Amino acid sequence: MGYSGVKGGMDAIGAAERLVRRKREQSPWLPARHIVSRFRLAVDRILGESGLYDEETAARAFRQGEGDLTEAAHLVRAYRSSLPRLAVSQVIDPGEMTVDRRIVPASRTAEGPQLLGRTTDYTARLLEPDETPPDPRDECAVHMATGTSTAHSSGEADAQRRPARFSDQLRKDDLLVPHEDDGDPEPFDVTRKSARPPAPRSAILASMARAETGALVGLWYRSVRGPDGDVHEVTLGDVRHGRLPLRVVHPHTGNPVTVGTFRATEVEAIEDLDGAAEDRTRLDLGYGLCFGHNERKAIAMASLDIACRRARAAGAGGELEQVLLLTTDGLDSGGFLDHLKLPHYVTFRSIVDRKLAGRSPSDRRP
Amino acid sequence: MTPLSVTESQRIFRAVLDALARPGTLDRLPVIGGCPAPLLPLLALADLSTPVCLLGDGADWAGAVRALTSAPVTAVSEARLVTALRPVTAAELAPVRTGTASEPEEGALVTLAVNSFSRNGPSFHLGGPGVPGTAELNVDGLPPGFTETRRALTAAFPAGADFLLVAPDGRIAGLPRTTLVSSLPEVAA
Repeated sequence: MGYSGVKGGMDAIGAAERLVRRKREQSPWLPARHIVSRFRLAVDRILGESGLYDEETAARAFRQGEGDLTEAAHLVRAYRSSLPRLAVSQVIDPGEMTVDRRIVPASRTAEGPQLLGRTTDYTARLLEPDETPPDPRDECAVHMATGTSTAHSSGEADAQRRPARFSDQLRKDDLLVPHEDDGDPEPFDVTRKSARPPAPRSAILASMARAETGALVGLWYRSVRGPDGDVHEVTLGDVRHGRLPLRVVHPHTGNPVTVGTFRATEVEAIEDLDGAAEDRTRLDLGYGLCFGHNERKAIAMASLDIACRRARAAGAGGELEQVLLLTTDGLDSGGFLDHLKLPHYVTFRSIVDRKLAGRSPSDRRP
Repeated sequence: MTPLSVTESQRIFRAVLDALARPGTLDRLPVIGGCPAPLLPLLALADLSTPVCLLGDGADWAGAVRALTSAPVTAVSEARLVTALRPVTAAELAPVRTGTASEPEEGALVTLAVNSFSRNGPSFHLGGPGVPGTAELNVDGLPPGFTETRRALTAAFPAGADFLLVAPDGRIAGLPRTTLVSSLPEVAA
Protein backbone atom coordinates (compact mmCIF):
# COMPACT_ATOMS: atom_id res chain seq x y z
CA MET A 1 0.00 0.00 0.00
CA GLY A 2 1.23 3.50 -0.64
CA TYR A 3 0.66 6.56 1.45
CA SER A 4 0.86 10.01 -0.06
CA GLY A 5 2.36 12.86 1.89
CA VAL A 6 -0.38 15.12 3.16
CA LYS A 7 0.21 18.53 1.59
CA GLY A 8 -1.25 21.58 3.30
CA GLY A 9 -2.81 19.10 5.66
CA MET A 10 -0.69 20.02 8.67
CA ASP A 11 -2.81 23.14 9.18
CA ALA A 12 -5.99 21.07 8.95
CA ILE A 13 -4.62 18.54 11.41
CA GLY A 14 -3.65 21.26 13.84
CA ALA A 15 -7.11 22.78 13.58
CA ALA A 16 -8.74 19.39 14.16
CA GLU A 17 -6.66 18.78 17.26
CA ARG A 18 -7.50 22.21 18.62
CA LEU A 19 -11.18 21.54 17.99
CA VAL A 20 -11.03 18.28 19.94
CA ARG A 21 -9.32 20.00 22.82
CA ARG A 22 -11.72 22.95 22.83
CA LYS A 23 -14.82 20.77 22.79
CA ARG A 24 -13.43 18.55 25.49
CA GLU A 25 -12.73 21.51 27.71
CA GLN A 26 -16.18 22.97 27.26
CA SER A 27 -17.72 20.28 29.45
CA PRO A 28 -17.76 20.64 33.20
CA TRP A 29 -14.58 19.35 34.78
CA LEU A 30 -14.74 15.76 35.92
CA PRO A 31 -12.03 14.72 38.38
CA ALA A 32 -10.42 11.35 37.79
CA ARG A 33 -11.61 10.00 41.13
CA HIS A 34 -15.24 10.69 40.17
CA ILE A 35 -14.72 8.69 37.01
CA VAL A 36 -13.24 5.86 39.06
CA SER A 37 -16.28 5.78 41.26
CA ARG A 38 -19.04 6.47 38.70
CA PHE A 39 -17.65 4.44 35.81
CA ARG A 40 -15.72 1.81 37.74
CA LEU A 41 -16.41 -0.92 35.21
CA ALA A 42 -15.13 1.17 32.30
CA VAL A 43 -12.03 2.00 34.33
CA ASP A 44 -11.54 -1.67 35.15
CA ARG A 45 -11.90 -2.62 31.51
CA ILE A 46 -9.14 -0.16 30.67
CA LEU A 47 -6.93 -1.64 33.39
CA GLY A 48 -7.20 -4.99 31.69
CA GLU A 49 -6.90 -3.89 28.09
CA SER A 50 -3.93 -1.63 28.75
CA GLY A 51 -2.11 -4.01 31.04
CA LEU A 52 -1.39 -1.29 33.60
CA TYR A 53 -3.06 -1.35 36.99
CA ASP A 54 -3.66 2.20 38.15
CA GLU A 55 -7.24 3.39 38.47
CA GLU A 56 -6.40 7.08 38.31
CA THR A 57 -4.36 6.71 35.13
CA ALA A 58 -7.11 4.67 33.50
CA ALA A 59 -9.68 7.28 34.54
CA ARG A 60 -7.64 10.09 33.04
CA ALA A 61 -7.30 8.16 29.81
CA PHE A 62 -11.06 7.53 29.78
CA ARG A 63 -11.64 11.24 30.15
CA GLN A 64 -9.10 12.21 27.52
CA GLY A 65 -10.42 9.55 25.16
CA GLU A 66 -13.90 10.97 25.64
CA GLY A 67 -15.20 7.57 26.70
CA ASP A 68 -13.64 5.56 23.87
CA LEU A 69 -12.26 2.52 25.69
CA THR A 70 -9.88 1.45 22.93
CA GLU A 71 -8.50 4.97 22.73
CA ALA A 72 -8.09 4.99 26.50
CA ALA A 73 -6.30 1.63 26.47
CA HIS A 74 -4.03 2.97 23.74
CA LEU A 75 -3.16 6.04 25.80
CA VAL A 76 -2.36 3.94 28.84
CA ARG A 77 -0.29 1.39 26.94
CA ALA A 78 1.78 4.19 25.43
CA TYR A 79 2.23 5.65 28.90
CA ARG A 80 3.17 2.25 30.26
CA SER A 81 5.91 1.90 27.66
CA SER A 82 7.62 5.00 29.05
CA LEU A 83 7.75 3.71 32.62
CA PRO A 84 10.90 2.06 33.94
CA ARG A 85 10.48 -1.47 35.27
CA LEU A 86 11.98 -1.53 38.70
CA ALA A 87 11.15 -4.99 39.99
CA VAL A 88 9.32 -8.19 39.24
CA SER A 89 6.80 -9.11 41.90
CA GLN A 90 6.81 -12.37 43.70
CA VAL A 91 4.57 -15.03 42.25
CA ILE A 92 1.00 -14.31 43.29
CA ASP A 93 -1.17 -17.06 44.69
CA PRO A 94 -4.74 -16.22 43.70
CA GLY A 95 -5.83 -18.33 46.66
CA GLU A 96 -4.86 -15.34 48.77
CA MET A 97 -7.64 -13.31 47.27
CA THR A 98 -9.84 -11.50 49.75
CA VAL A 99 -13.12 -11.79 47.91
CA ASP A 100 -15.64 -9.00 47.56
CA ARG A 101 -17.80 -11.26 45.43
CA ARG A 102 -17.81 -14.99 45.04
CA ILE A 103 -20.33 -17.31 43.47
CA VAL A 104 -20.20 -20.91 42.32
CA PRO A 105 -22.91 -21.47 39.70
CA ALA A 106 -22.12 -25.19 39.59
CA SER A 107 -23.03 -25.96 43.17
CA ARG A 108 -25.22 -24.62 45.93
CA THR A 109 -23.22 -26.41 48.56
CA ALA A 110 -19.72 -25.32 47.63
CA GLU A 111 -17.52 -24.79 50.65
CA GLY A 112 -17.40 -21.24 51.88
CA PRO A 113 -19.82 -18.37 51.44
CA GLN A 114 -21.45 -17.33 48.22
CA LEU A 115 -21.29 -13.56 48.32
CA LEU A 116 -23.29 -11.84 45.63
CA GLY A 117 -21.48 -8.55 46.23
CA ARG A 118 -21.86 -5.75 43.74
CA THR A 119 -23.77 -7.26 40.91
CA THR A 120 -26.71 -6.46 38.71
CA ASP A 121 -27.02 -10.06 37.51
CA TYR A 122 -30.52 -10.36 38.95
CA THR A 123 -31.70 -6.79 38.40
CA ALA A 124 -34.47 -6.06 35.90
CA ARG A 125 -33.19 -3.84 33.12
CA LEU A 126 -35.33 -0.82 33.75
CA LEU A 127 -33.86 2.49 32.72
CA GLU A 128 -34.23 4.65 35.80
CA PRO A 129 -35.59 8.17 35.57
CA ASP A 130 -33.01 10.92 35.32
CA GLU A 131 -31.35 11.40 38.69
CA THR A 132 -31.57 14.64 40.57
CA PRO A 133 -28.00 15.80 40.89
CA PRO A 134 -26.83 15.60 44.48
CA ASP A 135 -26.68 18.80 46.49
CA PRO A 136 -23.23 20.23 45.71
CA ARG A 137 -22.92 21.15 49.36
CA ASP A 138 -23.20 17.51 50.17
CA GLU A 139 -19.45 16.93 49.73
CA CYS A 140 -19.64 14.16 52.27
CA ALA A 141 -21.78 12.06 49.96
CA VAL A 142 -19.32 12.58 47.14
CA HIS A 143 -16.33 11.61 49.25
CA MET A 144 -18.06 8.51 50.52
CA ALA A 145 -18.55 7.28 46.98
CA THR A 146 -14.99 7.76 45.85
CA GLY A 147 -11.66 6.22 46.58
CA THR A 148 -10.61 2.63 46.89
CA SER A 149 -12.44 0.16 49.03
CA THR A 150 -11.79 0.83 52.67
CA ALA A 151 -10.90 -1.70 55.31
CA HIS A 152 -13.62 -4.10 56.23
CA SER A 153 -14.92 -4.45 59.74
CA SER A 154 -12.40 -6.15 61.93
CA GLY A 155 -15.03 -8.61 63.08
CA GLU A 156 -15.10 -10.32 59.67
CA ALA A 157 -13.56 -13.74 59.71
CA ASP A 158 -10.68 -13.99 57.29
CA ALA A 159 -11.70 -17.49 56.34
CA GLN A 160 -15.04 -16.13 55.12
CA ARG A 161 -13.26 -13.91 52.64
CA ARG A 162 -10.75 -16.56 51.49
CA PRO A 163 -12.95 -19.49 50.67
CA ALA A 164 -11.53 -22.72 49.34
CA ARG A 165 -11.90 -23.33 45.65
CA PHE A 166 -14.76 -25.41 44.37
CA SER A 167 -12.26 -27.14 42.10
CA ASP A 168 -10.39 -28.38 45.19
CA GLN A 169 -13.51 -30.33 46.09
CA LEU A 170 -13.75 -31.72 42.56
CA ARG A 171 -10.13 -32.72 42.76
CA LYS A 172 -10.69 -34.43 46.07
CA ASP A 173 -13.64 -36.33 44.60
CA ASP A 174 -11.36 -37.39 41.74
CA LEU A 175 -13.61 -35.69 39.17
CA LEU A 176 -10.85 -33.72 37.43
CA VAL A 177 -8.36 -35.11 34.96
CA PRO A 178 -4.89 -34.89 36.42
CA HIS A 179 -2.39 -32.71 34.60
CA GLU A 180 1.30 -33.43 34.60
CA ASP A 181 3.54 -30.88 36.20
CA ASP A 182 5.13 -28.89 33.40
CA GLY A 183 7.96 -27.68 35.61
CA ASP A 184 6.53 -24.16 35.93
CA PRO A 185 8.49 -22.53 33.08
CA GLU A 186 9.08 -18.79 32.98
CA PRO A 187 5.89 -17.19 31.64
CA PHE A 188 5.89 -15.63 28.20
CA ASP A 189 5.93 -11.82 28.37
CA VAL A 190 3.44 -10.60 25.76
CA THR A 191 4.33 -6.99 26.54
CA ARG A 192 7.81 -7.47 25.12
CA LYS A 193 7.25 -9.98 22.33
CA SER A 194 4.19 -10.87 20.32
CA ALA A 195 2.93 -14.38 20.85
CA ARG A 196 2.54 -16.48 17.73
CA PRO A 197 1.17 -20.00 17.43
CA PRO A 198 2.11 -22.52 18.63
CA ALA A 199 2.34 -20.57 21.84
CA PRO A 200 2.76 -21.70 25.44
CA ARG A 201 -0.36 -21.55 27.58
CA SER A 202 1.03 -18.58 29.54
CA ALA A 203 1.19 -16.60 26.29
CA ILE A 204 -2.39 -17.47 25.39
CA LEU A 205 -3.67 -16.57 28.85
CA ALA A 206 -1.71 -13.31 28.92
CA SER A 207 -2.97 -12.37 25.46
CA MET A 208 -6.53 -13.02 26.57
CA ALA A 209 -6.04 -11.04 29.75
CA ARG A 210 -5.16 -8.00 27.63
CA ALA A 211 -7.58 -8.69 24.80
CA GLU A 212 -10.42 -6.40 23.91
CA THR A 213 -13.34 -7.59 26.00
CA GLY A 214 -15.87 -7.41 23.17
CA ALA A 215 -13.63 -9.33 20.80
CA LEU A 216 -13.09 -12.07 23.36
CA VAL A 217 -16.77 -12.37 24.20
CA GLY A 218 -17.64 -12.38 20.49
CA LEU A 219 -15.14 -15.12 19.81
CA TRP A 220 -16.44 -17.09 22.77
CA TYR A 221 -20.03 -16.74 21.61
CA ARG A 222 -19.21 -17.77 18.07
CA SER A 223 -17.26 -20.66 19.44
CA VAL A 224 -20.02 -21.90 21.69
CA ARG A 225 -22.76 -21.57 19.08
CA GLY A 226 -20.99 -22.37 15.82
CA PRO A 227 -21.09 -25.83 14.36
CA ASP A 228 -17.32 -25.87 14.15
CA GLY A 229 -16.85 -24.10 17.45
CA ASP A 230 -14.52 -25.40 20.09
CA VAL A 231 -16.35 -24.28 23.20
CA HIS A 232 -18.75 -26.87 24.44
CA GLU A 233 -20.98 -27.15 27.43
CA VAL A 234 -19.54 -24.94 30.09
CA THR A 235 -20.42 -24.75 33.74
CA LEU A 236 -18.72 -22.26 35.96
CA GLY A 237 -16.93 -23.09 39.15
CA ASP A 238 -15.63 -20.18 41.19
CA VAL A 239 -16.37 -16.70 39.90
CA ARG A 240 -14.54 -14.24 42.10
CA HIS A 241 -13.74 -10.58 42.34
CA GLY A 242 -11.46 -9.41 45.09
CA ARG A 243 -8.15 -8.06 46.21
CA LEU A 244 -4.74 -9.65 45.97
CA PRO A 245 -1.51 -8.56 47.68
CA LEU A 246 1.47 -7.51 45.59
CA ARG A 247 4.85 -8.41 46.98
CA VAL A 248 8.38 -7.59 45.89
CA VAL A 249 11.74 -8.46 47.33
CA HIS A 250 13.16 -5.51 49.25
CA PRO A 251 16.34 -4.40 47.44
CA HIS A 252 18.35 -4.04 50.64
CA THR A 253 17.00 -6.57 53.14
CA GLY A 254 16.14 -9.25 50.58
CA ASN A 255 12.85 -9.95 52.35
CA PRO A 256 9.48 -9.99 50.61
CA VAL A 257 7.51 -6.83 51.27
CA THR A 258 3.85 -6.20 50.46
CA VAL A 259 3.78 -3.00 48.44
CA GLY A 260 0.08 -2.81 47.75
CA THR A 261 -3.05 -4.62 46.70
CA PHE A 262 -4.87 -4.84 43.39
CA ARG A 263 -8.24 -6.13 42.33
CA ALA A 264 -8.74 -8.97 39.94
CA THR A 265 -11.51 -11.16 38.60
CA GLU A 266 -10.91 -14.89 38.57
CA VAL A 267 -12.99 -17.64 37.01
CA GLU A 268 -12.69 -21.39 36.77
CA ALA A 269 -14.72 -22.96 34.00
CA ILE A 270 -15.60 -26.63 34.21
CA GLU A 271 -15.69 -28.56 30.98
CA ASP A 272 -17.44 -31.84 30.41
CA LEU A 273 -15.00 -34.05 28.53
CA ASP A 274 -16.72 -35.97 25.75
CA GLY A 275 -14.07 -36.47 23.13
CA ALA A 276 -13.13 -39.87 21.83
CA ALA A 277 -9.58 -39.65 23.12
CA GLU A 278 -10.54 -37.97 26.39
CA ASP A 279 -11.36 -39.41 29.78
CA ARG A 280 -15.10 -39.16 29.58
CA THR A 281 -15.54 -40.00 33.24
CA ARG A 282 -13.88 -36.81 34.27
CA LEU A 283 -13.99 -33.05 33.94
CA ASP A 284 -11.34 -30.48 33.08
CA LEU A 285 -10.81 -26.90 34.15
CA GLY A 286 -10.22 -23.67 32.30
CA TYR A 287 -8.81 -20.61 34.03
CA GLY A 288 -9.39 -16.93 33.55
CA LEU A 289 -7.84 -14.00 35.41
CA CYS A 290 -7.85 -10.31 34.57
CA PHE A 291 -7.33 -6.94 36.19
CA GLY A 292 -10.21 -5.24 37.92
CA HIS A 293 -13.83 -6.29 37.88
CA ASN A 294 -14.54 -7.74 34.45
CA GLU A 295 -16.54 -10.92 34.72
CA ARG A 296 -17.39 -11.26 31.05
CA LYS A 297 -13.73 -11.25 30.14
CA ALA A 298 -12.67 -13.70 32.82
CA ILE A 299 -15.47 -16.11 31.97
CA ALA A 300 -14.74 -15.96 28.24
CA MET A 301 -11.06 -16.38 29.05
CA ALA A 302 -11.59 -19.47 31.20
CA SER A 303 -13.86 -21.02 28.64
CA LEU A 304 -11.52 -20.33 25.72
CA ASP A 305 -8.55 -21.58 27.76
CA ILE A 306 -10.06 -25.02 28.06
CA ALA A 307 -11.29 -24.91 24.47
CA CYS A 308 -7.76 -24.19 23.24
CA ARG A 309 -6.30 -26.96 25.32
CA ARG A 310 -8.83 -29.54 24.18
CA ALA A 311 -8.50 -28.53 20.56
CA ARG A 312 -4.73 -28.79 20.76
CA ALA A 313 -4.89 -32.18 22.44
CA ALA A 314 -7.20 -33.37 19.68
CA GLY A 315 -4.71 -32.13 17.09
CA ALA A 316 -7.05 -29.38 15.93
CA GLY A 317 -5.78 -26.46 17.99
CA GLY A 318 -4.56 -24.33 15.16
CA GLU A 319 -7.43 -22.11 14.19
CA LEU A 320 -8.77 -21.10 17.56
CA GLU A 321 -5.33 -20.32 18.87
CA GLN A 322 -4.50 -18.30 15.76
CA VAL A 323 -7.67 -16.26 16.02
CA LEU A 324 -7.12 -15.70 19.71
CA LEU A 325 -3.54 -14.58 19.42
CA LEU A 326 -3.82 -12.59 16.22
CA THR A 327 -7.21 -10.92 16.20
CA THR A 328 -8.42 -10.15 19.71
CA ASP A 329 -6.04 -7.40 20.74
CA GLY A 330 -7.88 -4.07 20.70
CA LEU A 331 -4.92 -1.98 19.67
CA ASP A 332 -3.92 -4.35 16.88
CA SER A 333 -7.37 -4.63 15.37
CA GLY A 334 -8.47 -1.07 16.07
CA GLY A 335 -5.17 0.33 14.91
CA PHE A 336 -5.26 -1.46 11.60
CA LEU A 337 -8.84 -0.42 11.07
CA ASP A 338 -8.13 3.20 11.91
CA HIS A 339 -5.17 3.30 9.54
CA LEU A 340 -7.61 2.88 6.66
CA LYS A 341 -8.60 6.50 7.27
CA LEU A 342 -5.17 7.78 6.32
CA PRO A 343 -4.86 8.88 2.72
CA HIS A 344 -4.62 5.92 0.38
CA TYR A 345 -4.59 8.06 -2.77
CA VAL A 346 -1.80 6.21 -4.52
CA THR A 347 -3.25 2.84 -3.56
CA PHE A 348 -6.63 3.67 -4.97
CA ARG A 349 -5.26 5.31 -8.11
CA SER A 350 -3.23 2.22 -8.87
CA ILE A 351 -6.31 0.02 -8.32
CA VAL A 352 -8.27 2.13 -10.79
CA ASP A 353 -5.38 1.98 -13.26
CA ARG A 354 -5.38 -1.81 -13.03
CA LYS A 355 -9.13 -1.89 -13.66
CA LEU A 356 -8.79 0.28 -16.74
CA ALA A 357 -5.81 -1.65 -18.02
CA GLY A 358 -7.88 -4.82 -17.91
CA ARG A 359 -10.41 -3.51 -20.36
CA SER A 360 -10.32 -3.66 -24.15
CA PRO A 361 -9.03 -0.48 -25.84
CA SER A 362 -12.51 0.52 -27.05
CA ASP A 363 -13.86 0.11 -23.53
CA ARG A 364 -11.39 2.35 -21.80
CA ARG A 365 -12.47 5.76 -20.83
CA PRO A 366 -9.92 8.49 -21.52
CA MET B 1 22.31 10.13 44.58
CA THR B 2 18.58 10.56 44.34
CA PRO B 3 16.62 9.12 41.44
CA LEU B 4 16.13 11.31 38.40
CA SER B 5 12.99 13.39 38.40
CA VAL B 6 10.51 12.90 35.58
CA THR B 7 11.59 16.21 34.02
CA GLU B 8 15.26 15.29 34.18
CA SER B 9 14.58 11.87 32.65
CA GLN B 10 12.59 13.44 29.84
CA ARG B 11 15.25 16.02 29.10
CA ILE B 12 17.98 13.39 29.00
CA PHE B 13 15.86 11.16 26.76
CA ARG B 14 15.19 14.08 24.42
CA ALA B 15 18.87 15.04 24.26
CA VAL B 16 19.88 11.45 23.48
CA LEU B 17 17.16 11.15 20.86
CA ASP B 18 18.14 14.40 19.15
CA ALA B 19 21.85 13.53 19.28
CA LEU B 20 21.23 10.21 17.53
CA ALA B 21 18.76 11.72 15.07
CA ARG B 22 21.06 14.55 14.02
CA PRO B 23 24.61 13.24 14.05
CA GLY B 24 27.13 16.04 14.02
CA THR B 25 25.02 18.42 16.09
CA LEU B 26 25.65 18.97 19.76
CA ASP B 27 22.93 18.76 22.38
CA ARG B 28 23.10 19.40 26.07
CA LEU B 29 22.29 17.08 28.94
CA PRO B 30 20.89 18.71 32.08
CA VAL B 31 23.45 19.30 34.82
CA ILE B 32 22.68 17.12 37.81
CA GLY B 33 24.77 17.63 40.91
CA GLY B 34 26.83 14.69 42.07
CA CYS B 35 26.47 12.77 38.84
CA PRO B 36 28.97 12.73 35.96
CA ALA B 37 27.30 13.75 32.72
CA PRO B 38 28.31 10.60 30.79
CA LEU B 39 26.39 8.48 33.29
CA LEU B 40 23.09 10.29 32.70
CA PRO B 41 21.92 8.45 29.56
CA LEU B 42 22.28 5.15 31.36
CA LEU B 43 20.38 6.35 34.42
CA ALA B 44 17.54 7.66 32.31
CA LEU B 45 17.22 4.67 30.01
CA ALA B 46 18.07 1.62 32.11
CA ASP B 47 15.67 -0.54 34.01
CA LEU B 48 15.23 -4.13 35.07
CA SER B 49 15.30 -5.44 31.55
CA THR B 50 18.44 -3.69 30.26
CA PRO B 51 21.75 -5.28 31.22
CA VAL B 52 24.32 -2.53 31.72
CA CYS B 53 28.09 -2.34 31.87
CA LEU B 54 30.08 0.39 33.53
CA LEU B 55 33.70 1.01 32.72
CA GLY B 56 34.23 3.10 35.77
CA ASP B 57 36.49 5.81 37.03
CA GLY B 58 37.18 4.30 40.42
CA ALA B 59 34.08 5.40 42.30
CA ASP B 60 31.52 2.66 42.86
CA TRP B 61 28.86 3.72 40.40
CA ALA B 62 27.71 0.17 39.84
CA GLY B 63 26.01 0.12 43.22
CA ALA B 64 24.28 3.43 42.58
CA VAL B 65 23.12 2.27 39.14
CA ARG B 66 21.70 -0.93 40.56
CA ALA B 67 19.88 0.91 43.33
CA LEU B 68 18.47 3.62 41.07
CA THR B 69 17.49 1.58 38.05
CA SER B 70 17.35 -2.09 39.14
CA ALA B 71 19.38 -2.81 36.03
CA PRO B 72 21.54 -5.95 36.13
CA VAL B 73 25.24 -5.12 35.83
CA THR B 74 27.01 -7.45 33.39
CA ALA B 75 30.10 -7.78 31.25
CA VAL B 76 30.54 -5.64 28.14
CA SER B 77 29.54 -8.44 25.80
CA GLU B 78 26.09 -8.83 27.38
CA ALA B 79 25.19 -5.23 28.08
CA ARG B 80 22.53 -3.32 26.21
CA LEU B 81 23.85 -0.04 27.62
CA VAL B 82 27.58 0.48 28.05
CA THR B 83 28.99 3.57 29.73
CA ALA B 84 32.69 4.39 29.87
CA LEU B 85 33.51 7.01 32.49
CA ARG B 86 37.26 6.69 31.89
CA PRO B 87 39.37 6.39 28.74
CA VAL B 88 38.98 2.96 27.15
CA THR B 89 40.96 0.98 24.63
CA ALA B 90 39.81 -0.51 21.35
CA ALA B 91 40.16 -3.96 22.88
CA GLU B 92 37.66 -3.08 25.62
CA LEU B 93 35.08 -2.03 23.04
CA ALA B 94 35.55 -4.99 20.70
CA PRO B 95 33.08 -7.32 22.50
CA VAL B 96 30.24 -4.76 22.49
CA ARG B 97 26.92 -6.30 21.49
CA THR B 98 25.83 -5.65 17.94
CA GLY B 99 22.64 -7.68 17.71
CA THR B 100 21.82 -9.60 14.54
CA ALA B 101 20.34 -8.81 11.16
CA SER B 102 16.90 -9.95 12.32
CA GLU B 103 17.22 -8.34 15.77
CA PRO B 104 19.33 -5.21 15.21
CA GLU B 105 17.68 -3.55 18.21
CA GLU B 106 19.68 -5.89 20.43
CA GLY B 107 22.84 -3.94 19.61
CA ALA B 108 24.29 -1.86 22.42
CA LEU B 109 24.18 1.89 22.99
CA VAL B 110 27.67 2.89 24.12
CA THR B 111 28.31 6.17 25.92
CA LEU B 112 31.91 7.36 25.90
CA ALA B 113 33.19 10.12 28.12
CA VAL B 114 35.23 12.53 26.00
CA ASN B 115 37.25 15.59 27.01
CA SER B 116 35.61 18.18 24.82
CA PHE B 117 34.19 19.05 21.43
CA SER B 118 36.52 22.01 20.93
CA ARG B 119 38.32 22.73 17.69
CA ASN B 120 41.53 21.47 19.31
CA GLY B 121 40.41 17.94 18.97
CA PRO B 122 40.64 15.69 15.92
CA SER B 123 38.04 16.30 13.23
CA PHE B 124 35.69 13.78 11.75
CA HIS B 125 33.69 13.96 8.58
CA LEU B 126 30.13 12.72 9.06
CA GLY B 127 27.59 11.77 6.45
CA GLY B 128 24.48 9.69 6.13
CA PRO B 129 20.94 9.75 7.52
CA GLY B 130 20.23 12.76 9.66
CA VAL B 131 23.20 14.70 8.32
CA PRO B 132 22.30 17.33 5.72
CA GLY B 133 25.15 16.88 3.23
CA THR B 134 28.20 16.45 5.39
CA ALA B 135 29.09 17.67 8.83
CA GLU B 136 32.27 18.10 10.76
CA LEU B 137 32.61 17.01 14.36
CA ASN B 138 35.61 17.80 16.54
CA VAL B 139 36.12 15.39 19.41
CA ASP B 140 38.98 15.39 21.85
CA GLY B 141 39.35 12.23 23.93
CA LEU B 142 38.20 9.35 21.75
CA PRO B 143 40.07 6.07 22.13
CA PRO B 144 42.95 5.56 19.69
CA GLY B 145 41.76 3.81 16.55
CA PHE B 146 38.14 4.61 17.34
CA THR B 147 37.13 4.93 13.70
CA GLU B 148 38.45 1.43 13.02
CA THR B 149 36.84 -0.02 16.13
CA ARG B 150 33.53 1.50 15.16
CA ARG B 151 33.83 0.31 11.59
CA ALA B 152 34.27 -3.25 12.86
CA LEU B 153 31.22 -2.93 15.10
CA THR B 154 29.00 -1.56 12.33
CA ALA B 155 30.25 -3.75 9.50
CA ALA B 156 27.27 -6.13 9.61
CA PHE B 157 24.61 -3.44 9.20
CA PRO B 158 21.71 -3.47 10.24
CA ALA B 159 23.38 -5.15 13.18
CA GLY B 160 25.70 -2.74 14.93
CA ALA B 161 26.33 -0.56 17.95
CA ASP B 162 25.39 3.08 18.44
CA PHE B 163 27.56 5.62 20.21
CA LEU B 164 26.98 8.66 22.38
CA LEU B 165 29.86 11.00 23.15
CA VAL B 166 29.49 13.09 26.28
CA ALA B 167 31.77 15.84 27.57
CA PRO B 168 31.99 16.77 31.28
CA ASP B 169 29.93 19.93 30.69
CA GLY B 170 27.01 17.82 29.46
CA ARG B 171 27.36 18.42 25.75
CA ILE B 172 26.44 15.32 23.84
CA ALA B 173 26.93 14.08 20.27
CA GLY B 174 25.53 10.94 18.73
CA LEU B 175 26.98 8.47 16.22
CA PRO B 176 24.31 5.95 15.31
CA ARG B 177 25.40 2.96 13.26
CA THR B 178 23.95 4.55 10.14
CA THR B 179 26.43 7.43 10.18
CA LEU B 180 29.45 7.31 7.90
CA VAL B 181 32.48 8.51 9.78
CA SER B 182 35.90 9.30 8.40
CA SER B 183 38.74 11.25 9.90
CA LEU B 184 39.71 14.36 8.06
CA PRO B 185 43.12 13.77 6.48
CA GLU B 186 44.80 16.93 7.87
CA VAL B 187 44.43 15.90 11.49
CA ALA B 188 45.63 12.52 12.76
CA ALA B 189 42.92 10.51 14.50
